[in-house]
Amino acid sequence: MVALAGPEQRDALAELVHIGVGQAGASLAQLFETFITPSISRIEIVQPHDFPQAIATVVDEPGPIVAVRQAFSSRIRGEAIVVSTAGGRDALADAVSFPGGSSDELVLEVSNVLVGACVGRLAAQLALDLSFAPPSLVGPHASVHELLEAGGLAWRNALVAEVQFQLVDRAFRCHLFTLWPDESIDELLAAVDAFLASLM
Amino acid sequence: MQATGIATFDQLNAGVFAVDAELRVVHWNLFMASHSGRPADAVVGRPLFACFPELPEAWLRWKLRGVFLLGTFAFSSWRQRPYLFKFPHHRPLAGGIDFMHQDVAFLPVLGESGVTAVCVMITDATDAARSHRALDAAHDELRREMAERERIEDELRTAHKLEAVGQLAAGLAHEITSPIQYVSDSVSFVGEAFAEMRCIVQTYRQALYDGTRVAALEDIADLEYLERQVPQAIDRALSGLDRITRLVRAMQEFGGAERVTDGSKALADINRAIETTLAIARSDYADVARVELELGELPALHCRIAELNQVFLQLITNAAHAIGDAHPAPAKGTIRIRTWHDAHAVMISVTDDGTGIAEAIRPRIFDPFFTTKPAGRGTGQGLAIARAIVVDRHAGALSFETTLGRGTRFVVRLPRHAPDSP
Repeated sequence: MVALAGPEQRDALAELVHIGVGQAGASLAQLFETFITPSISRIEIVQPHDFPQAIATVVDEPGPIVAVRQAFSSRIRGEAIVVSTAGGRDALADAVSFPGGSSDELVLEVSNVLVGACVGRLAAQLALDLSFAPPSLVGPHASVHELLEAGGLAWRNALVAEVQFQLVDRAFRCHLFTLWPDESIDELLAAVDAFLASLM
Repeated sequence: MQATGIATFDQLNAGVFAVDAELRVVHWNLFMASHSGRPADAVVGRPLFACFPELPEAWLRWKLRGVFLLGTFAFSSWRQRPYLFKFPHHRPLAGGIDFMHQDVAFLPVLGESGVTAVCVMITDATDAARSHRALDAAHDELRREMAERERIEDELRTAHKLEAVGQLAAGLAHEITSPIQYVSDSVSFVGEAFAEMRCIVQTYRQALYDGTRVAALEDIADLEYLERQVPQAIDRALSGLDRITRLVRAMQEFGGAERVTDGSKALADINRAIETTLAIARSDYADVARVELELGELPALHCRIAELNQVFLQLITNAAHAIGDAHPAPAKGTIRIRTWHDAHAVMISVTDDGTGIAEAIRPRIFDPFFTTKPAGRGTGQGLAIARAIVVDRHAGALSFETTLGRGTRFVVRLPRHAPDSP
């Protein structure tokens, strides 16, 4: 956690993200008509130089990585990145019914639902309207490493939520990162403060 | 949808239509009408899939259902699904694209009871698709060319290595021939001497037995000569065998390190490596140059010593060739090899008083395939590979300074704490 987020802000953000993840799990369950258990193993704010380590557990997984990026904007703006593995994508494709679409389309669809629910729900709770750009697969001309390398990131902090979804007896594990430019961090924390004040 | 909104949709250069929960069309803008050839009054109020049976019904129903269910945006990209409607793109130069490529966004229309309709917005992405396809094709071509280039470079590296091995084998054969010759001569002499000595011994035995005189026989066999020459012949033979042993050991050291460490880095003695390389390359320079060594005390270096041996061999061979061209036999030039270090790096310089390098070709001497040597004397890969070994494999530097007609000095700089390279 960075100093700019105080303990109360941090706890509030974590709680709001938990609600968003719960919403995302419910949304996916509705969409795929299957039992889904979302779980959150980590939520933290990291700075660029810590980011490679923060995602190390993801990119060190065996097999190719599949990443989807999706920008969002309004008073706050940023970009969400959903990282999973090709094995997880294939397991997902086997587990759910997605008529007439490719496995890449399915990953885009799931990522869109996740980002829409997690980030959208977070923004809604903070009374922030958001619009979303279409999600797109990272590559084939850029690797996930290139995308996330610290030197190329024009942001001060990242809200990292490590989220796992269990689909019946198959494991589809994905990690959701949200990257926020400097001014959006300030806006986000101001909105968190306002949210906390409204609870008093 | 309100009238003002509908008018705005008609001005958009994008397709906009909306369907209700029963998937009946509730809005159809001008773009959709003009591109589909179906005016709004022919479509609005009717089931979408009845109007357009060619649509991917299962997939589209699934997308629309998701938006109705979750109330969130959904998207489709031309990259995964080139088009939803088969609209003409009206571009004469489409680069092989058949229909208008489309990005599609599905937006929930929220009412008091939740999502009342889904608005579908279709954007013409044909130009972007054409550019991306051209870029993809160029990227694929570039990747193919890079793979081909890597393959050719691998083959050339192998060819150069084989060439170097061939040269070393020829040089080693030349070096070994001389000691073998005098080992052979000495052993033959000792064999003949032994036969004569044996004869003398037998004569002495006979004389002891029957008391005959033997002085005349000693004169014939020149016993004093044999007593003087045989030990010298044995020394010569042992010296020759020692030289052969050292040559073979140098050869093993020269190429053996790579096998021992499987190409990975290990601590090595650079001075010893230079002496080893000089020993096995002697036939390349001994006829044209003297070697002056000024080997400073060096720390052990974490490196790939077998590869660096190849670099030293290349620099010594080049120096000998430059000297051979500048000093006609029997005159000899000088190869001066110096090593030293500082806190950051170990340095090795190889200086010759040969022809020097002409100014016009200086920028190209590290280029692959570049050579000024006659056919059979070099592939033009030597310095390129030496540079790759020093720079790419050891994060070092290979530089030179030269004066035409006076000679050249190459300096290898090897960092003492380089990161591991591929």
